[in-house]
Amino acid sequence: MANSYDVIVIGGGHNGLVAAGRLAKAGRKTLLLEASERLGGMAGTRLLDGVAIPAGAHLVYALHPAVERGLDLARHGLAYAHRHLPTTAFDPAGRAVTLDAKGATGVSPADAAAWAALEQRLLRFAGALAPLREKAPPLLVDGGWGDRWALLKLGLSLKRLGKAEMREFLRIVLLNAADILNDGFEDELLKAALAWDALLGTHLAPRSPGGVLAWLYRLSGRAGGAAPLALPKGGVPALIAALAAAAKAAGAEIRTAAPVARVLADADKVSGVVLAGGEEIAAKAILCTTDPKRTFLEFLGPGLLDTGFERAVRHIRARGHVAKLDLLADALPPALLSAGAQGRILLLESLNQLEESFDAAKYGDPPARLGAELLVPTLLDGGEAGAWQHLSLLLTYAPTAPRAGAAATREAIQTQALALLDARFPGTSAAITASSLQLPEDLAATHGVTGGDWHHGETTIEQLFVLRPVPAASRYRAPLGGLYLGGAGAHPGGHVTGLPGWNAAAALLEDKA
Amino acid sequence: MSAPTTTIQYDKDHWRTTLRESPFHARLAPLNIRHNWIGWAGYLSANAYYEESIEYFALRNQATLYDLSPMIKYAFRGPGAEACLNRIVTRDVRKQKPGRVSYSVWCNDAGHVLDDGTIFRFGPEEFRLCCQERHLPWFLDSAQGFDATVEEVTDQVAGLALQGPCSAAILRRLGIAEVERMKPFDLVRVTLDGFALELSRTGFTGDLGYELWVAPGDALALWDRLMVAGADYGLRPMGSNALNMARLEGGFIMPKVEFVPAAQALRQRGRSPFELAQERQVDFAKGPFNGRRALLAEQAAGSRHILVPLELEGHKIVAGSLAYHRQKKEIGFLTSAMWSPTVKRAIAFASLKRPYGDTVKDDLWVEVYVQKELKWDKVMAKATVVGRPFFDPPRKKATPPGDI
Repeated sequence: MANSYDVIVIGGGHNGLVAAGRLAKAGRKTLLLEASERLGGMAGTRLLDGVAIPAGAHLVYALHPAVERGLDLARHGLAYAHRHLPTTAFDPAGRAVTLDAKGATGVSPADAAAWAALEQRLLRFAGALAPLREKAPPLLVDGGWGDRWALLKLGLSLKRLGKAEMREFLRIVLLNAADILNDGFEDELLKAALAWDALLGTHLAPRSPGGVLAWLYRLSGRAGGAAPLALPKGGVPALIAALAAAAKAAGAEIRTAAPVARVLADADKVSGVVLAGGEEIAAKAILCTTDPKRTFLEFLGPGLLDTGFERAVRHIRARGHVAKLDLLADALPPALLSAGAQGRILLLESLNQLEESFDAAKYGDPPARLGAELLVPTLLDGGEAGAWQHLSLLLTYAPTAPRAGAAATREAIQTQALALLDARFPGTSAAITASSLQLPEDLAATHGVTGGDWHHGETTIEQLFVLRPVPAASRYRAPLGGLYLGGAGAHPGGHVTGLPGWNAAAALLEDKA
Repeated sequence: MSAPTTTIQYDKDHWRTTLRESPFHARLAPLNIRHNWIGWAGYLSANAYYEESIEYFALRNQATLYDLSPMIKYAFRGPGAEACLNRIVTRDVRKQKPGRVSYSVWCNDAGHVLDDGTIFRFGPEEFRLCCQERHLPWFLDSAQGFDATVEEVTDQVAGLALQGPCSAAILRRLGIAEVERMKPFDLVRVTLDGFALELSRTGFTGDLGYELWVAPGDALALWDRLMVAGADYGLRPMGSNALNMARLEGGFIMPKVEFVPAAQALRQRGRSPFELAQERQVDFAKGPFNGRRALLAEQAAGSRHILVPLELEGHKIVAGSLAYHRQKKEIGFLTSAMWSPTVKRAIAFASLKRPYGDTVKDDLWVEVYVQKELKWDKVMAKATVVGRPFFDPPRKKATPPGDI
């Protein structure tokens, strides 16, 4: 093999770039391989009608400050247009509820006070979990002193909440989201808006057990001063550009359009990769940021890992339920222009609406009443109201495996989404010049993520912490020498935090692999 | 992409038959004059037909027939069958030529033994694995990614073990010429009076012996021919009690006796091949296989247990008895034990905590409780670690096999 590296990072999404940057900074000869033409994966760009738009994520949720500082992203061009974007939820009657850094407005004083209290409490609870995010999750049994220390610290931080609060934490941690929302609030629209943020991207409805933990897990990303709902200047793809610039500046080599076909390994250790074109590249270690199912079941030849391990990997649950609709528009109605310039827009009804859409989606049908998140990045990022605009919509719940086939389901969902837009902002659909809808299965095909699941594995208790993605690979190390897992499928993955890639690189460096 | 819908037709009345009858049942039932049946893998199986000691001595001096049909059997077929099996078991299947049988163990990820059994290689792409426990989900999961199919064929193959010093003579009388050149663990396909017969020189008795496999429809014809050919040799049916005596003398371990199959073991109570005296079954040089990483780690760190063959003072001995070092420190227990009529000694397998039985082999004792007319006595019997098997007659391996 002509070329040889210390580490090959597979996957040029945000976690891959973070890992490559950290490894290169530590002096490793690092090569990053990205299958597609563009970097960023679901946080990158794609073309619609010749215009580059965000491919998937349109906001950055809780990029960890350690990653930002460690890779010096500000110097490499990362700046925020907004760090805590306000959210306005509209119901079909046109009533609006706004959620921002100051709390909830447009609701009764009782609900506003209840949200202020609940948000504080949830952030406190999430803060108790937060220290777990910054390193490999501690082993519960057979661990060393480091693990016992980490568990002790977790116990202490829960204990420090006080007796009543700790009891409350233990009461709600495995509850469904609807229970605590119905207990605390009377406003259906407010409840739906809070449930939206708690559950977006999961295979959980408001009444599914584990919804509160998914919410806390997401909120724990905010501890330590991460921007909660951030829009970088230039959009999410600008984060990718900054990460790529940081990695390159540190000396990492980046190759796009270089899909990996197979990881080369013998019984003990990996030795390199073979690209789809047949080219072989040698490496002492491989850090994979593709989702765990692809990593272990597609890249490795059969029999390299044990049957029990493969069985656990096959059983990882990864069902995406978010459809992404991108629209380009010329002359948007003024109501939409002014709402879009304020921040994020949610078009929702109630908890029951979300529950019913989940029911339909889980059986493969498009729901009767979609919920939608709308962002107009072009307006929020210094754009002018008169110019063309990009409307980015997240629609849920969309079926992971549409019963009626992809084409019919795409059409049904797009028609419903446009009707939803027109009902709130009349005249919107008439202004559309180009559109593209991606179902979960389209995300799966384009970005190689199993089930079209953003999080590379659902963020439910049996797949979190030391169980993520499976117990035998939970600390970034695969049971094969030199193979590391650093995608969102690794702890504390899901969302755009950069931490799985950051921590995985640390594990690799710690092993001197 | 919608989920495929399959309809499986179950026999709704299956529960009315609690234990099924083996293909040989029509002949076995009248012979089992004490109705001494047990259940084995869902089939009726005889503990003894008349008296286990008569059957045991028939095995060691004449020949016996044992109904193997309930043995769990899996067919591995296809271009990837060899690689698939090689991933499952700890030994190197590539070294096994067509027409050979091998003994194997297989492990889970933790390196704990799931089961042991025999692999029959009929051709480059055709194998059959025989064992005690059911493993279809494990084998199907293990076969993913390999160009191989796995099918349970327990009900499709009827089997008889023809064992004992006269077994070769009986096969000669049936006119099976291949007997002359078959070495231990050889496997042939022959035709006997128009029906297909698979014949292997294998067994679980530590004696000269063969196993015969036919389609269930040919089972009774095979039985009748063997009983006719064996009449002058004192051939008689044998049950599981006598077999269990013979297998201990032959040095064979039994699942659920010498070890808990790992799939049924909780809390790390599984045993690795190193803890079951199966070190020679583990081939680290062959490439990846299930449990390899765990077994390498165990080899480096040292195993916790060891299985040793023991000879004991006296003649009263019971499985389950506790073992001691210097009559004081409890170090393990006997998994199997008996007075061996052939070796004329009390013999046993003991599962001990290392280093006892490994580097510390002196001053080992076994505590035996014996009851004499409602009065219990406790004796300490001195134990000596010996080699395996306890009983190893030259006739077992002689080729061509001896005639009588």
